[in-house]
Amino acid sequence: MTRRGSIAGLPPLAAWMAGAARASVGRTLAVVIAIAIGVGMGLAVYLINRTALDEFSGAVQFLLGDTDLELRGPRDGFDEAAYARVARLPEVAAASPVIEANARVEGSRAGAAVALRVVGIDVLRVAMLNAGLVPEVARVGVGGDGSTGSDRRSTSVLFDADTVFLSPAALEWLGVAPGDVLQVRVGAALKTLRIAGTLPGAPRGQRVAVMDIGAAQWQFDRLGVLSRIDIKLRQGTDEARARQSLLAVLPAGVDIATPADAGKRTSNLSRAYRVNLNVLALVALFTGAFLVFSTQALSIVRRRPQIALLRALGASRGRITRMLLLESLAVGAIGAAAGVALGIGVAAIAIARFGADLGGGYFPGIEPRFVLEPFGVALFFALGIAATLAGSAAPILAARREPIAGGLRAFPQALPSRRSRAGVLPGLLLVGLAGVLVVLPAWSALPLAGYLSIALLLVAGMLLTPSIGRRVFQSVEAALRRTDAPAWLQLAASRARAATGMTTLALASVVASFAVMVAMAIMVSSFRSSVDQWLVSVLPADLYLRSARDGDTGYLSPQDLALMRAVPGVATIEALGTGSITLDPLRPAVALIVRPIDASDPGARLPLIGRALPAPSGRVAVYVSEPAARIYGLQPGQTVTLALGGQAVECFVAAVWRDYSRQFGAITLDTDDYRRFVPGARPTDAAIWLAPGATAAAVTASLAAALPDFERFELAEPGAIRAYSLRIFDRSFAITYLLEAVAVVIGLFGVASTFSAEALARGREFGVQRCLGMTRREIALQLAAEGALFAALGALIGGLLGLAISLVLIDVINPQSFNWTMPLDLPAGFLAVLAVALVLAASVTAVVSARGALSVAAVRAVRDDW
Amino acid sequence: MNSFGARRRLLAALAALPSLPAAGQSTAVQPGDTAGQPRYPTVRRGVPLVFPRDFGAHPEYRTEWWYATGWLQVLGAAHAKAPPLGFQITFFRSRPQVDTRNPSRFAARELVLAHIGLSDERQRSLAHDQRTARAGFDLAGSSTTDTDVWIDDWRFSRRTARAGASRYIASIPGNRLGFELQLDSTQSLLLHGEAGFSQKGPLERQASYYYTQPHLAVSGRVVRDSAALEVTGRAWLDHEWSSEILAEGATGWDWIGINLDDGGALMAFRIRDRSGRTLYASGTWRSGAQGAAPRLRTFGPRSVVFEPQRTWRSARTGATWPVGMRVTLGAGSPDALTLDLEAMFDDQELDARTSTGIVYWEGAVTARQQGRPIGRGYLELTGYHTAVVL
Amino acid sequence: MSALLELIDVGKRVGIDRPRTLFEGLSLSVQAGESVALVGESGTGKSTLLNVMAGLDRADRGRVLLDGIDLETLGDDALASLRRRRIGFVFQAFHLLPQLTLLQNVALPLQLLDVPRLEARPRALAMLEAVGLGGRADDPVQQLSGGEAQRVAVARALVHRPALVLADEPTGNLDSDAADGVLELLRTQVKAHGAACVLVTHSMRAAGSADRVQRLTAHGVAPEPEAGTA
Repeated sequence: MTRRGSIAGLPPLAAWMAGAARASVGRTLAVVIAIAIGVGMGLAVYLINRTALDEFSGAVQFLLGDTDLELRGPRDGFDEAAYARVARLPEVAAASPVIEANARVEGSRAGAAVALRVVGIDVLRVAMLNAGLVPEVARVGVGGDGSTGSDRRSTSVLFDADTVFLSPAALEWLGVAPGDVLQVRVGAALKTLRIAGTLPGAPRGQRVAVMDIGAAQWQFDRLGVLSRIDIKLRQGTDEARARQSLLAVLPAGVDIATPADAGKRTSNLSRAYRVNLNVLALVALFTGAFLVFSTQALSIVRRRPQIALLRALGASRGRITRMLLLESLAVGAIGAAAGVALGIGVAAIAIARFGADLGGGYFPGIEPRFVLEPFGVALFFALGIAATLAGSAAPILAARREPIAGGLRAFPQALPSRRSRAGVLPGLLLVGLAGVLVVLPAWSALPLAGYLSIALLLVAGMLLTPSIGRRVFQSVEAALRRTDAPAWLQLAASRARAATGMTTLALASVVASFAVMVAMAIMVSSFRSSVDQWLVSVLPADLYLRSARDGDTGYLSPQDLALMRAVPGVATIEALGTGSITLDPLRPAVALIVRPIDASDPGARLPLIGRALPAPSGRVAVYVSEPAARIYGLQPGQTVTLALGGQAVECFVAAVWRDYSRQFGAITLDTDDYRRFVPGARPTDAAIWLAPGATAAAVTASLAAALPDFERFELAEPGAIRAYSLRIFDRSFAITYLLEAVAVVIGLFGVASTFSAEALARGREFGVQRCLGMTRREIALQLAAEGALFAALGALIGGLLGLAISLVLIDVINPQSFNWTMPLDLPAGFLAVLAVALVLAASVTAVVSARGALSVAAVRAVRDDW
Repeated sequence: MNSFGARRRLLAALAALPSLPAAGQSTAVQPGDTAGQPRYPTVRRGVPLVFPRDFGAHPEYRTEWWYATGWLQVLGAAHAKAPPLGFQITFFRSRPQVDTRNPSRFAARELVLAHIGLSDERQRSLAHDQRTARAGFDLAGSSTTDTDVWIDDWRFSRRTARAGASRYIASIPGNRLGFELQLDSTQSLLLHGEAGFSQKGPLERQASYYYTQPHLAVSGRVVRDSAALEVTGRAWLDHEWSSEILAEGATGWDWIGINLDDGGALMAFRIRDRSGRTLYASGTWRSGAQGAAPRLRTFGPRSVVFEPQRTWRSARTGATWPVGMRVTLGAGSPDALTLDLEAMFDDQELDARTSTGIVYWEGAVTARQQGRPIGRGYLELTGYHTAVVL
Repeated sequence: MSALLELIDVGKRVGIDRPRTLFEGLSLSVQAGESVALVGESGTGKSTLLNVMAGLDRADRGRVLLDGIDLETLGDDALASLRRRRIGFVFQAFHLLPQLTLLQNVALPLQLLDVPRLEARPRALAMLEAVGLGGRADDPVQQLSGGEAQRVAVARALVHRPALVLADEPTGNLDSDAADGVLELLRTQVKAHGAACVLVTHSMRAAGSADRVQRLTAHGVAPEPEAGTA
């Protein structure tokens, strides 16, 4: 059998070319790694988010079942009387009342105190809407006479005041089994609940417990209130009409949402975070494609004689193109496959170690289980190959156009035509376009225009780099020519000025990666210093006591507060409670913070942006966090209607304050104002000011002695809270640091591959220089200087570009995706160190990658001539 | 999500409710402290029933039901030749063993259940439906002053009509199966046992308060598969409440309630053990109301005999039912009353394993004496599939 | 008076697996200002011999003395320094540095000798004038024809006044008119600067411009009688 392209044992054409690719194993490997990193990061982010969202929407689906409409109240709940009114509506076929709590479970295998989602249901009602929530009574403690004993108990067990039914995931997580008990902290009390069975309908990974609604109201001190009512409409009922009827019987603050709305809200919860991570992954992939471009271009240039020879021997253009495409595809496929493996591995490890939100805290109560999603794998594999092909397209087209004779010239000029001017106009146009884009508003709450402008800036930067480089290096060379600088330095400057297309490409990749790094560094630094200042201003007291960290069932009772006030060394105590309030059913709820606020000086407790307006008499003043102000378009002086205690209350927006901890917004109001509408408000936190001379340690000890069950509280000094918060901040940015580092490493890969290839091409040049009497050291210095010059320019352009991008990040992306603003903080020292490191790294890279050429005897280099 | 399985789980658990004539022999099962444990009153001999109070519910007792069964004839020329229909409308209330100290309005102090069924000879099948809810928020509950028990829009209530007679209204809206019936009393109440104290087992405490309103004149509408049928007929209403009924070892029971054509009424039941032997039995017969003082006879365990005559095996469940039953009251005495019961059709089995979790047979029957029809009523058979586990 | 360049019994073998003797017992002496042409068959090692003379390649045996110094005793840097000061090169393929102008190429040897800019520039310019390209000092080298490029190479080889110019087939890439011009220029400029010149060529025409012609064989060099006194 004759193989195509193989004659009498000669290798086929592709294999012959593959030999050429083999010769540049290092570069090919770099391409594979770059693609793999881009694909891997993107896929990992995608898989992690898919896992989180799947789990979370699974939870929503599980908790809502066949519900047609969900009537959801604020976190504090709403009056249960609405249930009877809703259930009696003619449009309503079935209504299922629900009370939800995040119970603080103490002393389980999962930890000293963990939050367990507890859903209080009327099992008889929920069965009509959501059979998945129906518990199965475990047959425990059955005697020898069969099941009689347990069955006799089973009915009551469903309704008992102290029984709870756990999903399999919750049982496993807490290390308990039916028949065991759970210790649950409610306020100061530790309550014992019996695990009477399981929830066979709970999807894998859902940590949830079900209780009788009456029992839950009693046990969690939520008498008289419901969290939500799920309803099923009578067949043929018009939903719009049903909504009208419902609105008429619902108290203010209860929203009507469909399960799809709930899913949307869930997805909105993490959307900004998700999109931002995905964009970072795309940056890695983009940089990878760039490296493919430079590598492939280089390898095609190097193989011009071979390609020309093949063409002279009769291979068609199409055949050459196919061959080169195949080669790129192979490299891309290997890289993408490696990336897929990397992505799956990273996602699996990250989910296991940090949870599906990577510590972002968006998806509590779910035990993440890594699920491999074929669509995502295929998508990112394809993206990897597409990036490779995109990177190869231009060089392959160039090879197609190459006239045969040009490649066959004995000494082809290794310098492809420099068209440094070609990019100037498009580059400037792109800069202009980017400038227009940044003033555009967010697109469906995503800063897409901002991202696009960043992409345009990056492309523009790369387009303009050759021209800027030429101008800068011309000046550098001219300046050096006017001095008696050593010959190697002058030669380096000349060489830099006359840079080849390849070298400017490497330079552009350095520019791109350094710009991204600088932009992120500036953004993170600005963000961090803002957060730091913000922390200082939101933590004015000497000690902070917290009761609700795990779950929402812990709180400070009036007795607790009284006991604390009596502790010697305590000068003042301010209690703070947190609830939630929904201003738009499609958006995550806004935090409601209730604390003493001095209306004449709200700035004492809140980091105000601008000045506070005095509320007109008789109006409740509320202080709106910046994200809330931006999301809901609230400005000081405006009126906002809040549902407080089931009443719609017209509140006066007195001021906007900076907040970095509640992305979906927060509204603060004074404790006394709040109590007028909700008498039984429960504080969860307390800020403690010490008397002169009292020490935090001594007061802590006294509080521990004075308060019963002191372990239910967490006590921290502001410094510790600040340190802890900044630690969390740094951790959540760890992934961005990683991606930046990847980008820079890919950039340096580009430098290395370019210099090593150039060094080979410049072997003769070095030989001549040695003949002229230059030492190896001088040539190495020249190379180092070339690398340094390139890197310095790269750092300069990249730095400026990075600054521009950071402004987009700070002033466009952040406000649009997270709804907070921050002042610019330039980490000059750090950036200088980064730039110097880049220059040094490039110098070393240049010398190291060219050392092969240096070690070849000069003779060999000029050998062709002799 | 398999709602089928979940519903079965729920209702299997509910089946254990003391809703059907059922109860546990012991109430104090809460481990450790018994504070907040509900105390169920014991049914006592000699406590007179007082009406209209005792028409109403008795929430303290563990279980209680209003059980209306009867035969209906469809009115209208189109239905002139239609065979009669059998119907069953039952409301139960049950008091679960939950902590009485829970102040929550949702605390399950009382559960209300309703079962309805319609036997149609032409379709040879039983249509049925059921509802369950906890009492509260006026959405479900029962009145303690007169018969009035409801779940959402299903309601069974009584009011006093002319001359002290009772008028019951069964309002059970539904498209597939529904009832709008008015049931008027034509006779006085029939108190079972000793003036309403009805022993159900060998022990004194295994008893219920039990009275019947026989010979209710029925008129109204039945909805079957969205078609409304004007009906008229004759019904039987039981009202029974107790805290503890079944004796230890009981696996099921047979029960009949027959409106005799002569105006008389007959009720009999027996409790069976695992081997099918009668653990306890009792019966009541009242003569037709032609005379001023109808004759009333009550029968003790030894004088009530149930003898299966013909069985029918359900292909659906594999259970074998004694659908032809001979019941003798006053066995051994010269004026013994013997009835042969013949089902309207055999398959009146209620395979409620997916709802109440048990399989029982609840069917319209004709009573014959020496082959001659003398009355119509309902036969209830339980424990022939698996033991009724309570 | 000692010779500028002295080769004494020099031998060179090439190849590692099956070593072959390229030449052996080769002795040659070049006096200051003398011009010598080396001719020989292809493969006799003319280029290698030139490398050995420049200290770019080491002889396997024998001694090579430049200015009386044995190159064998010098290290890499010292050899580079010696080349910088004493030797000029002319290559077959010119090997001008593409990124530099004519003037910068010519000035490069002076730069390498740390000649101050203010002195180097006029000297390089003068050198370019001497090869007839003074008017194009600031042009890039890519625009040159082969003959012009080799003129620039000649200028670069002589600008730092080396004692010895090593020319390797300087006319190999040129047509005959250009070749004549370049040979003439090389001859006159070498004379003008008082330098010695070793010219490797296979063209007898080119060899004819030298003071003497030596033929390289596997067993050394011998005078080429016919061309000897041209």
